[in-house]
Amino acid sequence: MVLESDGLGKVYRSGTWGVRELTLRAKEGVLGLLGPNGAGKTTFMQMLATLTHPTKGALRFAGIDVAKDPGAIRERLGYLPQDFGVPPGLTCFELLDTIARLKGVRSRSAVLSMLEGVGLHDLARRPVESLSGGMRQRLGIAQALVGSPELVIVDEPTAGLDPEERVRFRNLISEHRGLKLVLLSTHIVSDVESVATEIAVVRQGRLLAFGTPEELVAGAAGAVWEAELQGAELERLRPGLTVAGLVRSAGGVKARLVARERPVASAVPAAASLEDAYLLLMKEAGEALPAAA
Amino acid sequence: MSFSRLLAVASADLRARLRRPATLVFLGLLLAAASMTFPDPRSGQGILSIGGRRAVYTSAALAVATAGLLPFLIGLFGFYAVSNAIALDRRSGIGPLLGASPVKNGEYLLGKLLGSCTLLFVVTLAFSAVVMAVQLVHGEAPPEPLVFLAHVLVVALPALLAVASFALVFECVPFLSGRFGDVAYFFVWLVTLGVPVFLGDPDKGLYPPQAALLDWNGLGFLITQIQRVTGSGSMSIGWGSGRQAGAAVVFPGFDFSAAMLGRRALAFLPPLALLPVALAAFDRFDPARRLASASTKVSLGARLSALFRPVAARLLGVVVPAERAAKRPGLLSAGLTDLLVTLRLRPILVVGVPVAALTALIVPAATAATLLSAAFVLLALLLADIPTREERTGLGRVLAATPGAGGRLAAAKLLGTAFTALLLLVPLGARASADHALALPAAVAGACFAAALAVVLGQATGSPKPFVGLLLVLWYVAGSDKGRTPALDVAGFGGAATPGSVGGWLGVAILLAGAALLLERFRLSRG
Repeated sequence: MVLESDGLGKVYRSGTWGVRELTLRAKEGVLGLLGPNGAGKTTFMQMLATLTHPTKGALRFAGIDVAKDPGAIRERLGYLPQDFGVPPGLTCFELLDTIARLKGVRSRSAVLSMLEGVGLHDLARRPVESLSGGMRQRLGIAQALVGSPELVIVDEPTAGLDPEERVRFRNLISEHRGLKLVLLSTHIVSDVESVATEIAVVRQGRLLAFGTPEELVAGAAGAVWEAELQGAELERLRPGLTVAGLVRSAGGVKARLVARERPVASAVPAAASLEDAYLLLMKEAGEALPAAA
Repeated sequence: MSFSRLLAVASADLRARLRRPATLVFLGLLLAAASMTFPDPRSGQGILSIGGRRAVYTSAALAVATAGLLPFLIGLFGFYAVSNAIALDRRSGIGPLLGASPVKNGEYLLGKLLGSCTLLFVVTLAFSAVVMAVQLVHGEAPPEPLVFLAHVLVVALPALLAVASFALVFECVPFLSGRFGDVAYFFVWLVTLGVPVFLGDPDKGLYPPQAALLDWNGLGFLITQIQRVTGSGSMSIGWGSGRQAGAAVVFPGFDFSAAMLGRRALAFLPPLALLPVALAAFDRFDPARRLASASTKVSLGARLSALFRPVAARLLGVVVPAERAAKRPGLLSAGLTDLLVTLRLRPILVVGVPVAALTALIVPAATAATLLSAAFVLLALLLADIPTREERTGLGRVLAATPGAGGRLAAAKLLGTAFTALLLLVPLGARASADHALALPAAVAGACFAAALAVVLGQATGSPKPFVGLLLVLWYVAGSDKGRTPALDVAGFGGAATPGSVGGWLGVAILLAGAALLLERFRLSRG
């Protein structure tokens, strides 16, 4: 196992637990982290990124204890935080070159090739503050991947990226050599579904489910339904339903519903997706879900 | 320790700072000041006088005059220019990347120290270059760049290191990292300016090691050297120095002996001793430690705010109407809203202002003047963040999109800031007017001036620090003058205000306000 978390916990001075009793073991590959806001995803990532110390438990990457030897983790780490900002005054090249030097990379060509990899080669001399949101995010991805890290932690990496850029990001992650583990947190379930080799679903700082995407989807087999409903009927039934999707049709609304039992008489079974599996897990854990996801 | 990483931090820091508008404004003002500070000697005026006689414009003399300005230039303003090195990384969002990178805390902090020292060094060199150009123009003696630089740097180098070290410590220690620290540094600077002179007797050439150790600003060293090489401890630096004197004197230059250099080198030690404090207090962008320092447990300001917030909310609930008819807000309303935001952010003001007003009613008029002086210092704390808070928190664009906001945010900010300053100064000014009739108008003028200065500097630099530095210097100069010069009695606390001085400060306030409005228009025209 490349990543091991044993009873990991982090409590802030305010008394709020960011992570409680998180235990998981992940193999090499891409570990997707899913969970609602406030589930502890970012806190878990910050602990693995050595930014903040665990209050209890142990966290190891490739056998290295993160709390005891943070320096060794940092030597192997690429990190893209959720709110990646850019310091005004530097150009794209200068920013990436600075991060590269901090990681021990002094090759100009390595920096330029990384910029090329994220499609920013032509903008190398452009001030970072003039980049669009998507361009900044690409620069963020480049700085995370520079220096051939073994561990890459990316928090909401595809936020602000257009569909084409999201595909480019997935390819970058899958093609990058030397990576042992990518820890990826996102709200876009399809991103996790297409790149993750394992997925951890967390809620209130605890692990709710863990497995490959296929295993998680299999857990929702027989619990996904589709039904043609009239608008008024849908409104009446809505409080008792977990709706994974709605598509307007000529006869009313085609609803995708998640439930262990047939939710309405007209519902027919449908193939489960990862998003359905996630919604089912949250529903069964007591998470307040929106009426239409 | 990796020097490559250290240099990467330092060079990124320096490049980013040198391209910031705040740095460019600071450098521009400085160079303009440098070119105007040195008068034409043919006018009979000089910049340096020794023993009451004007010093000829040699490189050594001009360098000494430049060095004499360094305690202000580097020791004071330098601090406000560099004391945001870590804050910039935090605000820009790159901090967590650095925290997760292999850079060690010591490398990062030394990189920041090196970046700050280099920036101050560049400032010193640029200032020196302008002064040398002045020497070329006024030409009383051939320029000797090496002599000039030797004289300047022997004073400047310990000052650079000290200021950069203090800035780092103040940034790393949570309760010193805000506006309180900015004001506290001013008093640290005042003390460190005087202590070396107190410990030795530079006028008599006495400069013991303990004085040299604490003399990073170099004022004691400068006086001692002048005394030793000229036999006179009487020196003045500034426009018009030596105007009244007879024949000009030639300053022979410092005695660059090993003993002298060794004594001066002692001033490097205390700043170096400060660095472990910064290292121990540095949070390495740990979000948990940052949250904790912003909580009531650590920050004095947050603790006071938490204490006064319930009372302030009740008081504001009484004063501010709960419901109003919806209409497009006017400028006055926008200014009052800004004041309301200030009061909600600083609930201590809601309680403190009535307390100050009641105090003003019961204390003697003379005491009210003293309190007015203290209140003027408080303006540095209270007003500094008002003009920049929206931009720093990302609310600026939201406000710009509100109905009727286009092109008048600066005006609303000027009003809101002025209202805050008036709340504090007017009651005390009114009480002080029992002794001096013009104390109230002077307090109003001072409040308007401080507000306009805060807004224009905040807009031009994006930082609250230049305002803190300038206002405190003004307060210090006005206080030291003890009312001898009416023009300096900025808010009436010297008891010397005249209709001319009140009109003058109001005029300056109007000019500054105009500059703030023009700056906003310029920004809007550039999109």
